[in-house]
Amino acid sequence: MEICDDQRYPALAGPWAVGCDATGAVRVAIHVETGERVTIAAGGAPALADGLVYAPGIPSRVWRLPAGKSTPEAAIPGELIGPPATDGEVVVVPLADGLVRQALGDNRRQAIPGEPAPWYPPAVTGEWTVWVSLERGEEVIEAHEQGAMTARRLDSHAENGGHPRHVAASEGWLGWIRDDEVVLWHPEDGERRIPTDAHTSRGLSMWGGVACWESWNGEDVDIACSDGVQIARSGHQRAPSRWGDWLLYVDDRDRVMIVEVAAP
Amino acid sequence: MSRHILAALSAALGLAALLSQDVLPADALLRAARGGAGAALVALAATGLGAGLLGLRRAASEGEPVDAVAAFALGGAALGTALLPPTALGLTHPAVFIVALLAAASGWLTRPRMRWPSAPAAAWVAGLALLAPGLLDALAPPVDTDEIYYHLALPAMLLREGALPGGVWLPDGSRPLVTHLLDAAAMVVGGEAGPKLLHWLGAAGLALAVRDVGARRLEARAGDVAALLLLGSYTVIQASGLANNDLPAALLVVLALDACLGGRRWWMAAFAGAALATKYTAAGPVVGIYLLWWWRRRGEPAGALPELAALTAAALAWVAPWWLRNGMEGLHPLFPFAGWTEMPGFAFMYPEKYGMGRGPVDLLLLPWRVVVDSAPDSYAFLGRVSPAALVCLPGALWGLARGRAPIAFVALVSFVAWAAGVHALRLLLPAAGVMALGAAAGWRELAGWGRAAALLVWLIGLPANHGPWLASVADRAPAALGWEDREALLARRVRDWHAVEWVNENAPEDARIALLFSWPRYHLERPVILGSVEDHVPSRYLLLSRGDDALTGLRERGVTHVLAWRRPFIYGTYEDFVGRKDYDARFAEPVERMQSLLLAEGTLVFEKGRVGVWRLQ
Repeated sequence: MEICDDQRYPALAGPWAVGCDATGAVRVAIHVETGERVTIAAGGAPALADGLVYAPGIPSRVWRLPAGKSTPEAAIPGELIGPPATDGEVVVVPLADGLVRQALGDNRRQAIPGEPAPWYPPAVTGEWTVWVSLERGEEVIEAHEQGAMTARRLDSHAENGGHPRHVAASEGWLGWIRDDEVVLWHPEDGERRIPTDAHTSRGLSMWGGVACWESWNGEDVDIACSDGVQIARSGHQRAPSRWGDWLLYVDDRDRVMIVEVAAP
Repeated sequence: MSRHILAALSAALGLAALLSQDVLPADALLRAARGGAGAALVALAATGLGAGLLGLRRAASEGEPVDAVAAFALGGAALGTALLPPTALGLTHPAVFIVALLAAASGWLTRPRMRWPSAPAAAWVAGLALLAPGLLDALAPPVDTDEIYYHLALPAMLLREGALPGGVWLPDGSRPLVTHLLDAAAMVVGGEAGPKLLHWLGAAGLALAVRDVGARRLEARAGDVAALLLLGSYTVIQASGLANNDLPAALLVVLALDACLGGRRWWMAAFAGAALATKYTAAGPVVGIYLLWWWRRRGEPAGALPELAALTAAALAWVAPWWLRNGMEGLHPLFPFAGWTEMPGFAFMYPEKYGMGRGPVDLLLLPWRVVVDSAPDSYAFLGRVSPAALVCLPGALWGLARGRAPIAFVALVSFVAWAAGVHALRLLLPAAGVMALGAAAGWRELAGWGRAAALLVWLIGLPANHGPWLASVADRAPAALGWEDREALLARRVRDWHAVEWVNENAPEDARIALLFSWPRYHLERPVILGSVEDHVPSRYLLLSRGDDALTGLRERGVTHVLAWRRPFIYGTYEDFVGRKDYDARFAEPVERMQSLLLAEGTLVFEKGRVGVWRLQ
């Protein structure tokens, strides 16, 4: 498996490592336990969930791994400005004029008012959709709960500093990165803040309430997770993706590493 | 009467049909109209100024009419030079340019007697047919690399940021900016299309001047042949709809040659100096013209030497303000071609990168190879010329040997000077007019069937020369005519466009951008420094000279964001003349250092492929 043109991939879709071949496009899924390899044609920046790959397009396509054959989904209704997100049940697509949320296998769409920032993917879990927007060039974290009339502002640089960005979501947890901490937020369980320097991160990986990110140690990039797991070898370890005890990352020789980890 | 009513009815029907078919979308029409008005106004003002200058002199001496093309070229160069003091002082408000244009146009108040270009109808039709695609190019959004980092970028930055670009952080701005200041005036009135349409007019002026000089100095048909050779060469014609300073220099060189052949030595010096100030690579043909003048004065050595010195000083007076400007800013007068003080020996350009070798045999074979082995998309000369030029070569050499081809002599000197430098055909462009005239002088030596064969070769060679250009114009034409969104074309043709678009739409209004290993300065709507020029010199210099403090230096200059391309070099381009160790030190290491520094001190806020935007911490 090769690293991709969009260096936020490869990443884990449950027990499947989804990444690229030599073309730089997402075309390969490998089961981390069995080594089973499936060829897909998911293009540049698909959304991933447990055993599921969603590629936006006209029409969009969904692979339910290990099936190598995709099924069609509703076409995206506008200009895509970043990777979509899915929790396996619904998909959220960031468009130039807002976000669209739709259930997989269903043609019904719901427009979510907002101005998502380009490049940053949104995140979705259950009733919650979360995304990054920009106000006068500065980041805002916004979240929308199904049924609500308006989005809720969770964090912003203008109010709190720290350039909050890179949202993620899993099993009811929402998370994002700030300049000096990672924030995990649950609508009922409250908030957890983990001090760190994650400024090199291209994204935040979440599996349930466990988050993993790139951690800058002053000289190079390591990987840190909120459950205490760390990868701190010589050189860079980048682009973490976590699912259960499996952690995928890329070392500084552009090798894709998939390791089994256990929280200390 | 009934015929007039019929004609009026027909015209009304035609107008209604045109309006109903939406021939040109309103925004494209407006853009073309504004650009045309801007180009026409600047051309009129420049011609007025030039006519005033030339006419005053003529009135005192010969009383001949003023050649309109010569007036346009000289007035344009004079106006571009005159704009240096106010813009260097920060007077860059559009009103300054309007006042300058009105002042230049006051040359018409001298009521000069003009000689307007004239040619048979067939010549006009042929010339316009060959140049017409350039109009589409001129109306298209800029995607040409030289336009977006240099020729349009500098005028746009001047108007946007209110200061004359220049110095180590914007080295392109420290070159003479005669055409760029004139283009800024065209941009004030005509918007983006203004300067491009002005250059299209200049290209047409070059073809007319070449034809006219050829007809008067060689023979009537030779003028036509010279113009055909010029417009039938890819390297020339591809520049016709682009903002550039090569073809303006070529026009001034042709006028200097004409003045030399006509014995008007001070006008020779004036046009030669203006050509040099327009583009330094006009030095080759200028030296050839001066040598020709010297040769024609043989036999009167006593007076020739002081006069030569005076003529040289007169020519250099055009360039001196630019050298003075650099000196006042603490730079080498010839910066950026010399004077990279923090890294002595730092090369601005690698001549070995272009052409097919620089050994004695390679140089002897150059006239052959430059026609036979050149290609628009290859570093082997990076361009193409009409094969008919090669057909005319024996005749030109024959005429030279017989001592009856002064124009071919200037062409030969121009070619030798070019051969001594960088073998990229675009650098020969300032000599394009004299090269075409030199070839036409060779054509004149041929027997009738040889002349016909040369024209046949020109015709057969036309698709290979116009084909690549037409293909690129066809790609841009829908956007030029308003049938494709501007952004769609830019996304397709400007590699870093998505990052530029991100900055324009999302970076804070007060953001200041450093472009590292990236070109599209023109399209950025924020203050910008660095940006690329030949082999990404500014970025490499910053990273090599400042080392790990490079980004600190940027922050000290108020830079908030870096837009960078992470893979600017391919070793294969350099391996023939730069050893691996040197390549690593001069090219690979700065890129690696940039990546390390951005990782440590920047926060990635946008990325597409290998181009990203980092916010500096």
